[in-house]
Amino acid sequence: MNDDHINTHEELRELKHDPVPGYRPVFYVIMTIASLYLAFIIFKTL
Amino acid sequence: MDKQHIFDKPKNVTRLLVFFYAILVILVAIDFVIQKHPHFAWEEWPQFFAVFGFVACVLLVLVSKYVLRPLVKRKEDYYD
Amino acid sequence: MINAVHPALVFMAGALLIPLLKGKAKSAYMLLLPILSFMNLLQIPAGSHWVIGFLEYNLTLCKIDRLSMVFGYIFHIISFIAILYAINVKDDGQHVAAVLYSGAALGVVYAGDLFTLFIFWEIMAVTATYLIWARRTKASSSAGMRYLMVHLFGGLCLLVGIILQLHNTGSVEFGHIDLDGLASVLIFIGFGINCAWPGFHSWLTDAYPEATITGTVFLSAFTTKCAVYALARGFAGTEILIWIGAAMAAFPIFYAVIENDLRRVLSYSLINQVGFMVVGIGIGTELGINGAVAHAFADILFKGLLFMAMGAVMHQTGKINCTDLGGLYKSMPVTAIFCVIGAASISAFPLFSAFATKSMVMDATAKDHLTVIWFILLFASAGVFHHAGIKIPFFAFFSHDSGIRTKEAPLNMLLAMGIAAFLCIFIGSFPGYLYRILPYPVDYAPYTAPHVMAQLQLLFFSALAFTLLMLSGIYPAEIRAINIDADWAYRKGSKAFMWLLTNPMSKFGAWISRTVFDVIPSALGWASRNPVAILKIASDSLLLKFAVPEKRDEIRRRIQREKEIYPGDIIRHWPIGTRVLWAILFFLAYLLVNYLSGVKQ
Repeated sequence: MNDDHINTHEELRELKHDPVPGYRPVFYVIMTIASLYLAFIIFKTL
Repeated sequence: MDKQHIFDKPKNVTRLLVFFYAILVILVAIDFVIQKHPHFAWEEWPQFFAVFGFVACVLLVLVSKYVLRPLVKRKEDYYD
Repeated sequence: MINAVHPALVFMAGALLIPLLKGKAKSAYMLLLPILSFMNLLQIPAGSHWVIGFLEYNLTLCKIDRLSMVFGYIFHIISFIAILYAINVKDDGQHVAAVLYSGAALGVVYAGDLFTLFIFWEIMAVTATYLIWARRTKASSSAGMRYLMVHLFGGLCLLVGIILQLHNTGSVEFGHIDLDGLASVLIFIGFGINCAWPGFHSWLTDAYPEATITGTVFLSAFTTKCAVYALARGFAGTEILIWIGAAMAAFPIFYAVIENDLRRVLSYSLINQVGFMVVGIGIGTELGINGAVAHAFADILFKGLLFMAMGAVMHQTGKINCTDLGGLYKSMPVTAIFCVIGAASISAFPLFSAFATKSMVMDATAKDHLTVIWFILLFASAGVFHHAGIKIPFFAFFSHDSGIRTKEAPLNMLLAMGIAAFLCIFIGSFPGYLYRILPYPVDYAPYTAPHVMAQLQLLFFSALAFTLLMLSGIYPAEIRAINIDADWAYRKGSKAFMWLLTNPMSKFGAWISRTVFDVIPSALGWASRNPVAILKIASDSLLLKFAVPEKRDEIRRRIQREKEIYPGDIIRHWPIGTRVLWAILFFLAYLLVNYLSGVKQ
């Protein structure tokens, strides 16, 4: 998303995905809620 | 000089993300009004497919990254 | 009398003329072949045709019914698309192989008996191997060899199964086969190897990414789908297929997430999609079979489209790894759009093809109350969106900008992708046309409000998972590496075998031959020159071991001297005591022989 790499054609050994600050807690919260809710549904109905 | 493309502007990326989050909110909202006729009991619960999709994908990625990759990853010239 | 030739004949005979033509005439001729073949097919009425006597059996070269016709239609459509995509390739060998391969696939689908099926099955294996070898790299030549070996093994299973089946039942007709006894199991496994069942799957993920750009498009369409057809005809309702299919749908998605080569990602997702079909066949209800066949129809198109899009990227940039690509939407926007359409189709977005086909299989599992299978397939549905629907377009066309600036793919490639993309959307939006040609009457409505919403929730929240994992930096890095799979067994296994053969085994062999042919004869020869001196040296050496320390030097010197003069003058060195010893020994031997012969009498 920036132009630093344009026409440099370097071949990476590894393409890492850098974290954007602030997203990790959001992810943890949503994941926790979703897993608990899913476990709850399945526990109630299965 | 290379011309500017649509996702070169961070603003457009943000717009895309906002649009995406808006769809999620709408999907969560309409779940409560749609009449369901499911095969299984758990399908009736609100947001079942949403939470299943999310949890399934996270587990898929975590298992691939932390379980499968350490087991199967080898150097590129492994078979040479 | 029908006014047509065998369905496979137009392709198979037509292929041989390709090298004779040049330039535009060749292109036009190749594009005409599937059209001619299709017109020929429509002239043949339903039923069995070209029944010929072979030994005391009847071979039915062509049997037309609703099941074979669905595959006939889609095989013609995809061969037209793939030929259009490949038309610029300047390699007659590839063209001939590809058209022969398509023809053989038709031969399999219309075969009315198992022998005819087997012949076309083997032609497919050989021509497919050529499409892999035609890439002419070191990797492709060894991958092609492995491909051939696996398929010849599969063919062997099939052949032995067919012969046993013939022996047991006295008929070679290809109809439903009950899975009981060795014959049926061998046929089952023969089909299963081509179907890429778990454990037998790695020929696919090994070879398809190494084949030529255009060859892979053909390969992705025919081999596995012929196996799906064969299972649907022979083993519909075989329960174990449900579990095999579920495993196929589930395990490849994990590999796909960590794989770097995008065509290999697609190969894994090909197995995943075939898994849904196999589950449908295993359920065996009308809905299950319809779902399996409809999904095969849709899959040939969207998987072809995705392989074409990745092929176009490879054609333009020479690269296919996630680590090398990215940002290509800037230079290849049309290909990017087609790729996204293919991705939406495989992910089963409403209005795209798999939404109308995969859901039939899901519904069939739900109707049979197969709870665990249903959960596995739902998991696989979310997973396929994750790795094929998002990963493929994202890492090739968006993601980080690799800096590669190139041109859009050639017109013929774009046209081929355009037709496939159009059909993906058409099937998804108007599924009635596809439903009408399915083997059984369809009583299924995909576009209900809860189904659309459930599917959208599943997909968009999968996308949310991807987004959050990306943005929080948890998503695994793309790494240039090899991920070992079941092919390890015969790749490293054969290497280990070869190593054993060349290293310890050959050393052992050499040691044996040296010992037997060299050391022992020469030692015997050496010893025979003066056995008494040898005995003396041996007895002195023995003496040395037990002698008191003061005597050792003397004994050593004596051995030294004995060795130096060896063999020496035989008589002179025989001391008197030794002669007596020998005389006693001979005497004893004489007595012993006499005694033993006495016992005998």
